[in-house]
Amino acid sequence: MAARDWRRVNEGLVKRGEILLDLRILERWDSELERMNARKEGGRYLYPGVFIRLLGYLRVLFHLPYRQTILKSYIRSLDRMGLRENAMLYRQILAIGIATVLIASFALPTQVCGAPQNILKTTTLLEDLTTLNPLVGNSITDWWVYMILYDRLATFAPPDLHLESWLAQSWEHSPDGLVWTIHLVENAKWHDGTPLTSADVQFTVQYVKQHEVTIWMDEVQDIVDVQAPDPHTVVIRTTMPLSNLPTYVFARIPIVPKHIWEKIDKPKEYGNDKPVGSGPYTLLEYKPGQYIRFGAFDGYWKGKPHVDEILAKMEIPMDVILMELKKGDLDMASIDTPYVPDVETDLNLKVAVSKGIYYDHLLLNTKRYPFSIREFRQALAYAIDKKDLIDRVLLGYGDAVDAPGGVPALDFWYNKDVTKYPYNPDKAKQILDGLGFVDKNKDGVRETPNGTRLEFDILNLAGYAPYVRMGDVIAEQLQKVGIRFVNKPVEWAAQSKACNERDYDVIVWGWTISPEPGQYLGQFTLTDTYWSFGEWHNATFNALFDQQKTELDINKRKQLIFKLQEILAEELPVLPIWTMSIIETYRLDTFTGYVPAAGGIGGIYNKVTWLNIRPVTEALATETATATTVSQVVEVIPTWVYAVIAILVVLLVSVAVLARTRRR
Amino acid sequence: MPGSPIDRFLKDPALTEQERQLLLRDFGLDQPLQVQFVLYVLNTFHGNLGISFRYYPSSVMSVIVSRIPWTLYLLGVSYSLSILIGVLLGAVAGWRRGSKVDMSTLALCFITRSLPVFWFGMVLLLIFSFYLGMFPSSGAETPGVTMDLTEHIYDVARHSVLPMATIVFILLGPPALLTRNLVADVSDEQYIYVAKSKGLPPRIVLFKHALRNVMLPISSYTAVLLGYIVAGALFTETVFTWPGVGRLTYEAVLTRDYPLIQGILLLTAVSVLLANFLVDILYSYFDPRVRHQ
Repeated sequence: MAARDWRRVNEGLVKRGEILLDLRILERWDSELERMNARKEGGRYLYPGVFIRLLGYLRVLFHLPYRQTILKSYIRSLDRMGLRENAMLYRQILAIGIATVLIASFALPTQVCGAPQNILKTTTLLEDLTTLNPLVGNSITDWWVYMILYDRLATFAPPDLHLESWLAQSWEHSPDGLVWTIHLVENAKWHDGTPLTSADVQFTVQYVKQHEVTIWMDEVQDIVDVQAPDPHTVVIRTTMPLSNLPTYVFARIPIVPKHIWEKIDKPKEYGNDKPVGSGPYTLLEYKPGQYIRFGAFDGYWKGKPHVDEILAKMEIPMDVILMELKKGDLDMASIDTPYVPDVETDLNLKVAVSKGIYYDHLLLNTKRYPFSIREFRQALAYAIDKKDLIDRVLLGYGDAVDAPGGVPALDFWYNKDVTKYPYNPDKAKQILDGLGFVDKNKDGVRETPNGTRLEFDILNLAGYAPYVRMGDVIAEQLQKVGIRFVNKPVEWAAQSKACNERDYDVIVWGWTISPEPGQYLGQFTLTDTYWSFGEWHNATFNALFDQQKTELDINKRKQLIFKLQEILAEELPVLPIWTMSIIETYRLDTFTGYVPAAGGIGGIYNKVTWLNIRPVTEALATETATATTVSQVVEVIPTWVYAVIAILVVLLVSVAVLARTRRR
Repeated sequence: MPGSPIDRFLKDPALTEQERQLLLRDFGLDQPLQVQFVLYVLNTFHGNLGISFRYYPSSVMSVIVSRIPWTLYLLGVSYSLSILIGVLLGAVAGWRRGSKVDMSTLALCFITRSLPVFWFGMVLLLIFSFYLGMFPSSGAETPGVTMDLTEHIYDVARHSVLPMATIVFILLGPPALLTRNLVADVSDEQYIYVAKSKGLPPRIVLFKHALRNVMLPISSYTAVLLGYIVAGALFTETVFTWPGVGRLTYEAVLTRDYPLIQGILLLTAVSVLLANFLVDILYSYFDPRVRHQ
């Protein structure tokens, strides 16, 4: 008989089997699940295999049924202890947190060091330049830019744009008026350091003539030749004595550098991307449609400007301009009348109102009956209430003009004593009755003796609110005296077509009155212009005009100009209405030294401002400042608010995600 | 169109008749129309689109080229985002047609479609730029500051957030609605039913099976939209002073700058045609049936 291995039998009774209770299932929950679901088709496994095995052991050990006791209650207690954390959730929350921080970090402005502090930010430019070439560009924006970059022989100085010397220190003319001698300043320099000499002046005039530079042709056509006997003297010979040589030529034609332009064969195609001028600022950068930057020129003959840079932004909508002014992103801008009350409430901003030089008037077709009758035109003048117009359309920001061809702001050349037509509807009615224009059929509108109603179209620029409103109000005023004007806002091209073909009754129009008075008045002497001036011609007027053209004594010339304005005021081929004031705003706490002038601080003739402005701190150091730099309590959101918002967002999102997970 | 081309120049009283004739000659406008037309076509084939009237003496090509990158960037990103988000929204809405998600997506689409672009842009500007000061209020870059490449990218990104948000928000509607309807139609199909029965999670069924089959009409929409990137977005560009082609077109029309208008229109037409052509090619990848033709 075989002996039993009792040891082994006993051992076998003790140890029946092995159970591995791997308690690391919690740590390995997710990784196990992912591994199981990696290549699974169909629905995912929800619990890892080790967990199911554990439940199996519990069932065996404690005789507990699966569904009631083990699964649900076990899971629940795990949840209660917070042990079944879903690593995925952590990852989600982390991702959201990072995203929030990234987005919030956009809130931080670009911190850039080394930027010069004295940058004047302005938007006097409402539209983009056409070109940087001063011999080609002809828009308002262009002119403003050329004024900053280039110098001229003379300038129009504030406040009334009277003529003052500039590059030309002084000048005199020969007794017969045909030879002008100009003495240039001696220390003027071009932006590249080359000295500015008479050769440049001679070159500029010759170049314009030689290449038939379109926009300056008229100015130089009476100049015979230009000599440069020494580097700082220029001698100009003209065909006849020209009274307007200083104002028409000296003050307007920009002097261009000979050493650059003599190489340019086709000035009209030259973009002039790196302009070399002699003005107080150089061009730093020009981004079309966005902005243009000027930097102070330290070699400027009048002394370096006090601001390091001028940044002129362009094409910004008016509402955004307001916003930026208040925020401090802009230091100075021109604004429209409706925004003035809004600006006035801000203590950091000041409103500056300058008298305008652009005068708006009614252009009458004097070839058409009854506008061909002078008394009729005068009756119209009596029936129009200019003050009412200015108050209602311009909200008071304007001045009435009585002398056609002048504006009150250009004081020297404005004849205050012309025949005026103060608002007098009764007198208007009287005149109309006297002319035989009576309202026979009592329909409110008078008729001519042969029965046609006095009903006319008044054309104005659609989309340009002041003109359209002017048309409305004038129609209203004239209705009171029995004349019917039908307000017709039209597209600009349609209007110029009507003008060209002389097919209109009345047009609301406007014209810049230059500090050179002959520029506008001369239009009335021309016989076949693109712009018909009502086809009105007057021999006396023409004779006087020719006379003033050659009258070199400025005071005698003034009298002649005054007579011309008087004739126009008597004859009324155009009915002058008003000149709109220019409203500009600037911050008080950044820069000071804005010089008001006719046409505005940022006007195209006002150069002095840009030499005079300086940072407020500098001014305070040198003068006892009366300007109160009130740091107004602007509603600034402090940084901690961002942090709170960010935290709230993260919390909200995590709650939402958690809720979704729980529902499982 | 009424208005002779040089009308704009003659706003300035200082131009005499003689000067006007010179201008006409410069532009070749004194030649008979037939001659002008032939010259124009020949020039276009050489890439010469003429000289802009308004930006004289710059050429039309250079003016457009200076603005196009900005437009491409702004609209390229915005349109793409709007399509992505719109399609996703629409897919989820169409999948659960009639549910709260669907209803709210529909409402969102209609609201965004009805909002005026410029108003919405201004509201965003007011809140985020003026009051909260988080983003700049105008332009595409901060002027005058020298920045290295990363700083520059960051700067442009900051400037583009608000205009892009405006465009994306406003343009969410069409792709969302389109996708929603398509997905709703497709979800009744047999193969979707089979996929669901296989136990595939709904997300897979929707994005891998249903959406794939509705890609075709969505691609057509994308093609047309992307073709118009070149044309710019006038309102957004105006409100945010973005230097794009939209505003350029507006100004060109106002100032009767015919060469510029023609140049932009030509470019837009070419761009749309190209986009359509590209999508035709892409169709063959999306739809195997097309490939085997």
